[in-house]
Amino acid sequence: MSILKVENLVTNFSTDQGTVQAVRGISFEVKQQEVLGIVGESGSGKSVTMFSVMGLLADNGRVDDGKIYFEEQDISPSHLDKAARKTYEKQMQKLRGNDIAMIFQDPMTFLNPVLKIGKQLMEPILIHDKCSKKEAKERALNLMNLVGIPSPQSRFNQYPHQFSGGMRQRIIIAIALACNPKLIIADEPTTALDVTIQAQVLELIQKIQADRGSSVIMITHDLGVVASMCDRILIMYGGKIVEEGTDREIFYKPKHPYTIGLLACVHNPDSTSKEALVPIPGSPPDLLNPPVGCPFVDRCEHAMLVCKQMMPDETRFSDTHLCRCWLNHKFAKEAKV
Amino acid sequence: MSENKLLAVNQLQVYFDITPSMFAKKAIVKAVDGVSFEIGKGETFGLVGESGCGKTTLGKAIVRIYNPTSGNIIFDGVDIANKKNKDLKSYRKQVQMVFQDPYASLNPRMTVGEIIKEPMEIHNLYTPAERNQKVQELLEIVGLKPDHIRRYPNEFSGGQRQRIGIARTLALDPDFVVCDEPVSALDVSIQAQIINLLEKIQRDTGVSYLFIAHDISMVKHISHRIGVMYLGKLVECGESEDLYRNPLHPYTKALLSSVPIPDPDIAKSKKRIILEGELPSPINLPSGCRFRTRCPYATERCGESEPPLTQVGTRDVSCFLYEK
Repeated sequence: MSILKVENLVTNFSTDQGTVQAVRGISFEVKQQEVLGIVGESGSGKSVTMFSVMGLLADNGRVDDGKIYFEEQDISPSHLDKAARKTYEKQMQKLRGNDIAMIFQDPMTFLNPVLKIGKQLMEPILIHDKCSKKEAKERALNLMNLVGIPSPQSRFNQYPHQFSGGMRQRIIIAIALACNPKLIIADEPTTALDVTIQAQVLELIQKIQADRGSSVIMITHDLGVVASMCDRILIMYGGKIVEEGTDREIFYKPKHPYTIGLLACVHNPDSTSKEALVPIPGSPPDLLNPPVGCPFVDRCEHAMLVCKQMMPDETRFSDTHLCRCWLNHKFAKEAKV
Repeated sequence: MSENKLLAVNQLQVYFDITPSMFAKKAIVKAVDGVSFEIGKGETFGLVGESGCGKTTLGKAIVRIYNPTSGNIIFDGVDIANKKNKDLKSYRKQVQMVFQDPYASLNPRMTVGEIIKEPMEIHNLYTPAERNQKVQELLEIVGLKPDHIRRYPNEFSGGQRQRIGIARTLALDPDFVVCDEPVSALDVSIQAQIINLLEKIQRDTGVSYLFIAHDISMVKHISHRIGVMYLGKLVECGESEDLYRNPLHPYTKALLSSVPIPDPDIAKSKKRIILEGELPSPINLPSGCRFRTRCPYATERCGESEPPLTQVGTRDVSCFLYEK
């Protein structure tokens, strides 16, 4: 059974320059106890997808189409009238922090600088579990222990500025875990951290996922992090999912030219070769005026006439592996990737 | 190595006095505390370490944005560590810097042409017509179009801005460029473009780089030799491939083991050395070896005195484990 199912999600932002089509019709699901990685460059729509799921879009953003199901329960924010929006907000308030929790990218801005760490940790427990303050404090201290914060008793009454970046990220993880969520969405959880601290945090997320059997969505642009953490991977580009597969399918048998390009332009430090990196020329498409066809067409060395005119359908290679690229169409047999 | 030596840094110290008031206890941040290394002509020396280890301060002290507290910076046989600003003009012509943040390092009120021309104007090089010619050439080298010359930085993406920054550093044909995290603000697919550009420029002009970054796989790719910094000290230094394959210092070992490898089979079976705790504050440094508070092999002796940088084969390591 899938824990989260997203069907044909469309999210737009209205800006002074026009409508930015950040997410353009994507569908995917997250299975129970799986770690799903979402990879893409900045502006590919990976964070916006998750904010849409959480109902946390900025004021100028809205979900214009699509369905979102959490454990078969409909939580789609599109096409709602006033009354339905109210019920939706109520429903989301119950879910957020309780069943679905998010670990945010920037530990410096997520925490409230004028509230003590302990208070911020107790907040979700008090709201969702309606327990006494004493019990909430006990649970908060346990959480601090769990995420490896030394001497939690004295740390409990400190403010965020007294914590280092890695410690703050641990607090954010602790807050996310406070109510034993079934789904943890981690939005670039280690981008702001050094590698040695990153290793600590990744190990922690892995351990918690294994112990509690929660599902995790890891949003990142670091292919190394994806390779070490994820069971299944989505590759996003220009607001669309261009390839989807298990970790080994994506890394060893990539099908989409963008995925292939992405893998070629990261240096694997374990290889001895000194050969030059193969960069992807050009830059990502402007989502104010997204291309009609494949979003990658302007940077793709295999681009054909059809790529400019129509978005390719998905081609399945296995139960788990699918790719959207015209090269996999039966008429494009001669082309070699 | 000694014949084509371009830059030698010798026991360089950069301290910052952060005493908050006249009546407070003296507080000094030892950002760089006795670092020595050499860079040859046409060589790339990579500097890695966690944030706060002093690698950027070291880079900025070498181009004399910061004034060193003590030590020598010998460039082409001349010590420039204590020279006055007015005597540094010729040095500033030979040494340039690429900054980390392409959004903050370009003046938003100047056009691309003015930005690239400025260094030549300051140093009174070429006639105005030649300068324009040179700007066109530089734009071509870094892969921008000639008509970009009249545009402003805000019209460009991060990768393109970094190219403008690189064109500016090349305007004076420098012998040595300090690249301070030149790609860390960019997307992966754009990073490779910039790295390839830097490598191509080095092949064509023979420039030397000091390449500062925290991304070890990137540093390993571009550098001939690598220095690993921890809390203001160089703990290990050696040939890049050799250092990556066979790290000696416990900190280098931990640092390399925590680099995520973009290959699921290797990454999932890899044994990570997880370091306990975090970087101590550079104001209250631990006694003896600075790494001992997080080191799995720390002994009593490590707290008593600081291990000197000693040669082990082709490598320099500062750890008592490798003392003969």
